[in-house]
Amino acid sequence: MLKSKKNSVFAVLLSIVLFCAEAEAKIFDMTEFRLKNGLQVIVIPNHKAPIVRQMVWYKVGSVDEALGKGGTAHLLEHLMFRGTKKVKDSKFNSIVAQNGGNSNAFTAQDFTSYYETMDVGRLELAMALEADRMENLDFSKKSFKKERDVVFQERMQVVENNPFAYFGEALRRVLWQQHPYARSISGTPEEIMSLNRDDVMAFYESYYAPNNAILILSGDIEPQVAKSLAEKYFGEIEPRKVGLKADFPKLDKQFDARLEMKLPQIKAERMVKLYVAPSVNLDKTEVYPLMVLAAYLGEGETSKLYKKLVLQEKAALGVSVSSDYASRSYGGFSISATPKEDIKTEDFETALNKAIKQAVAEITIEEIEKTKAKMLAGQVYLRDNPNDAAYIVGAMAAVGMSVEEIENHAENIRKVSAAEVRQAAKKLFGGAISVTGIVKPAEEAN
Amino acid sequence: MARRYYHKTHSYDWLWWLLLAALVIYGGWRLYNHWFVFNPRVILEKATLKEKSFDTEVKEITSPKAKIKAYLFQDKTNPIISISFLFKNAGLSTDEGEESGISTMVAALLTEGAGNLDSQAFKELLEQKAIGMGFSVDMDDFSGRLLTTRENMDTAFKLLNMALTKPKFDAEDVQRTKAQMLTALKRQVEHPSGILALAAAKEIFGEHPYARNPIGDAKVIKNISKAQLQNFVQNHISRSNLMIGIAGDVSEEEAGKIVDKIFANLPENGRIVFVREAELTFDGRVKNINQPSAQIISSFATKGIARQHPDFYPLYIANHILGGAGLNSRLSVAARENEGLTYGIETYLSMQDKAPLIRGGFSATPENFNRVVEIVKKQWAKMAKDGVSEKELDEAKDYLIASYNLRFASIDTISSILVYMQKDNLGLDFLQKRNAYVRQVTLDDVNRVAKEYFKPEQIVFVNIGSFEKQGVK
Repeated sequence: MLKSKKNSVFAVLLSIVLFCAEAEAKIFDMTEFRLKNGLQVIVIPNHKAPIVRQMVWYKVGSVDEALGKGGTAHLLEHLMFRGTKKVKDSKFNSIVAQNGGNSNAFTAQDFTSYYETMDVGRLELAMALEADRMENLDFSKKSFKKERDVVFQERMQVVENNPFAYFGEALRRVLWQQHPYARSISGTPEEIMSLNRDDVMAFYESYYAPNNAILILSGDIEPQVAKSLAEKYFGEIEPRKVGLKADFPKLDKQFDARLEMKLPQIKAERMVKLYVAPSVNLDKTEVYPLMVLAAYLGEGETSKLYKKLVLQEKAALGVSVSSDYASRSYGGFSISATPKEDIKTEDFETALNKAIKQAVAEITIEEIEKTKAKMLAGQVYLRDNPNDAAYIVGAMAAVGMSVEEIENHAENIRKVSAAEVRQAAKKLFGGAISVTGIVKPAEEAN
Repeated sequence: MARRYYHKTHSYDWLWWLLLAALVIYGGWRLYNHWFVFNPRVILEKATLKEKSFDTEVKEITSPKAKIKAYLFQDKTNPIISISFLFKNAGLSTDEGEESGISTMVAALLTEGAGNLDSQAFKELLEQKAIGMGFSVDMDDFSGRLLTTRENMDTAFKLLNMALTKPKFDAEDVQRTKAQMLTALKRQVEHPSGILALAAAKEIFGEHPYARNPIGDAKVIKNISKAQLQNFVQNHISRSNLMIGIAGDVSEEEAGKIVDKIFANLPENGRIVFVREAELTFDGRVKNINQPSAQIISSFATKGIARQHPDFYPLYIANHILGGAGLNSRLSVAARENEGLTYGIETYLSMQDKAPLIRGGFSATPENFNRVVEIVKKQWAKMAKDGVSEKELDEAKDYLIASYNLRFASIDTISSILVYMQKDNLGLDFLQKRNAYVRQVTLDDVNRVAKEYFKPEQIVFVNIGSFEKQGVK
């Protein structure tokens, strides 16, 4: 008797909790505002520790480079640490270091991003430094040459010396053909070495402007304070006319390509299938069903393809699926698998295609609801690490997703129906541009 | 009279000009400062945001039933809990010689089903309840971690307890895991840096178990039996060698009960395996592995000191100045910034129990390779001979102190720090005292230790790449 009463109280409590969660399903509780000069500012509060991550995202990336000038965006990213009119040479690094900050940057196809993680008492220094290099970049010819050498070495280390990365670049070239996503982010070694100071400065002047950037402050800071500080440090930077951005071609010729690469360093075969898919900027209605499809097919070791290929068929050692929806042009969808050693490539490909087909045919309301529940169960973890939150929000905002859309992720997933997932799968596997890539060991020379 | 008056006017005029000149100079100076000078000190003095005090209190709790001790760090900002734990001396170096790889296999299999739940049922529950559970092995210890929401915590604790006490080791899961590990062994040597890591361990550690492959031995893996796996759990997963760190939204009382729920029914004692101290020789030898590749990669090492050694902080600071993370170290400035020879160069203190080392590495195209080696040796010798300057020491301390709070960004990291505080005997108040330990280090300490440990003639280099391209061989 007592027990059931306790249970019913608990049930009431639970429904209140659930109701509250439903009412404010926001992931990050962000605040967003825009300065007069056009700078978009997003504040993500997290009061676990007195630290803040500042990120500045420029909405320009390797896709915006002129043909033959591959690597400009990335080289510029490096040179942003090589001096401004006020903060000479590598002073940026030593000021950040002396104040206990961690700082780095990265270049992607669609955007370029810079960050500093600071104790809150030193945050303003990082803000002043980022604001300064948004308008005052200035480095010597010598610094330019040395940094270009560093970037060349980076290319050698990260791509040329890494067989799987090398294969990945080749695969994307086949998939994307004439689309700028085909190009390598770092540029080819020859392109890197042919870049000059003017190329980089012209890129900087065309695209690095407050009206082409997003400032993110994630951590122990209140939105009101963040606002006044953003105005204080970034508010006086003049907006600039932003240069022309990549003109993305419409991809309307369907093909299924194939790339088989034998590399002497590769010791275990892998198969990767890449598809051109809708992104948030192309067809929002398909993006969320594709996300659910990816999770259903191959996120984790209870997913459909894992069960079929690894456990039942015993054809693979591992399989994973992901959808990439946050991009300025088309998105992507990928399936990666490691075949078992004793299985022939062709047989594996047949097994993989069969498994995909079956998995799609077996989509049911019940399975999709289960998949969605798994996708949403861990959402609260996103509030744990302010550094991760800054990255996740920035990568989505930089390709044009609104704060509301990012916050409403859970709701958008929840709304997806099994029929929509089936429809998205049919479209993807029935008519999307795709490439099947195989990388395998080169035959041993006798 | 008129003259005097005139004179007076004249002198007034002169003062006026002086004032104007002063104003122009002052204005110019202000403008110069505004446009051309970046003054960190002034920015910080005028800053709205000031340093905040931060409560980093760690409590030691004792579980009510089994009286197991654990460290607790409370953080109520998010309804989640992270638990890190470690079974000391149950790492790969403690595997019996003919069983090298059994610890790593157990780590992979503990999430493959337990009690009445087979592998799929177990993983299904983990995913439905968003429970993160994982096990890993390094040379010294066997570790695990659990991440759960408060909402699902009871399931999480129960599953973890089952994994530790009633792992299934079903034949099919064992078979699959073996195949995955054997493929991992192959992938390990696809990248030249993977081959280098194995070769460097062999060269540095010789006959010591630290020379082993961190995944295990292929022959051993193929033949491991279920009985061996069960034996490992029985012998090594016990309360006697256990250390626990809990971080997150949990009260002291709850934490005690949680510890009991997960760990109370573990065996009281296990079999303790002692691994001998490594006797290593650092005599400046160089081992080159010739293999076609775009860059030559180098891994180098020399003697270091244990975490509990009284010279730990001075050596830590000396290393930070020489080759610590970031772009600001002497080595990075010399090799990367000034000469553009490499994308990155770093040195660090490696803290394995039986062989603390100073280690480092870089990669560079063949034509640059010799020059970078030369820089490493030169900077190393300079460190021993001249030590560091007062300014460098102050800046390094500033960095270490001001960056301290950055490590509290995620509760996963916090719970694992709690475990290492216990493993290294740092004391319950370590988080409060750590910055004082850094402050106490004197210039004499650093320079004495630098002389003792940075001996360029002793560095052992292991390199891999196309040496013939530049006649290194």
